Amino acid sequence: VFLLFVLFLTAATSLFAYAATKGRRTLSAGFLRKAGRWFFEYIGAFACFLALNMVLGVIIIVMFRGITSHFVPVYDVRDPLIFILSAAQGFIFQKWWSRDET
Amino acid sequence: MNQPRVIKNIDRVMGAIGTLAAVLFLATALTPVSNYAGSYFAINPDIRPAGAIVVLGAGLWKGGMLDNESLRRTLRGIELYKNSLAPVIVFSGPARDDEPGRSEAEVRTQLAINMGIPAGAIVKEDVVNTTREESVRIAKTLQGRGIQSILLVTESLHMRRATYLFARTGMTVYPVPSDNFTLAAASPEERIQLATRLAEETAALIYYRIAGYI
Repeated sequence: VFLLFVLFLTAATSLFAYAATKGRRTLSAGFLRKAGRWFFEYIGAFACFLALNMVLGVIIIVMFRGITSHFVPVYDVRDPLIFILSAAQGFIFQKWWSRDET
Repeated sequence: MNQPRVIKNIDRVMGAIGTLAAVLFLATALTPVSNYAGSYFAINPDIRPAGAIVVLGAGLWKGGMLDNESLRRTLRGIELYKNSLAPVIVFSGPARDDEPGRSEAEVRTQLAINMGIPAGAIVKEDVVNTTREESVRIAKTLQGRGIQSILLVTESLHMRRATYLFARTGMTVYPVPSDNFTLAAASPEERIQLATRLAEETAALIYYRIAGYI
């Protein structure tokens, strides 16, 4: 039921956005395919940056604990800020990499 | 200029990784796959009389309040003591860096005393930060008192690593998970959290193995 509710919400706001902008932009099937492809490329870039940030974070924390007496929990790498910044990195990287296509 | 193939096809590589990540995310959120994996990973409780109850640290909020997991573990330990399953209860947990005055172990001890546990039955361990440090120090303290078996209280997904560590010190370990997350996780958000904890604990187990701790 929750899934259907979420799907309904996203479908409703998408239709609203389409209706509000209709006439100013055309929406083709080709563009939707391209947007879908770009979306998955962006998710891939986000996942890669997130994995790299977390692995590097754990390595730095373990090394820091090894060479100083100060304790830093490894769990710090799951801070939401890392997710948000990784998402930004993925977005900017994908925009930059695919700039020749647009 | 000749570029490696993976760089040339980076859009396709990212697209494939993104598709895989999206499928994994949806499968984790919308199906009970993480519940099954969690049930396989978690260790079943084995509750019986022992020499001591050991309640591992979990965290302290700013202001001196136990975090949710710490409170759950503490209450589980107190319940075991009240059921006369051991004559000694060990509370573990350091102080926060920004509030060094009061440790998690101290807050738990005060709560246990308020709930009727005699102060003489409580052992505090508040200078440990990692599960490995907890196992080494607590085992040393208990073995010094002639105690060889423990009821180990910690989160269900943390239990495997903690059990290996205490068993390595020579203690006989009876696991008592403080939760049933693998059954309780029913919403997409809870399943994602469960999968995240599973991934963390799997990574920690691999690290502990490589480092030779277990």
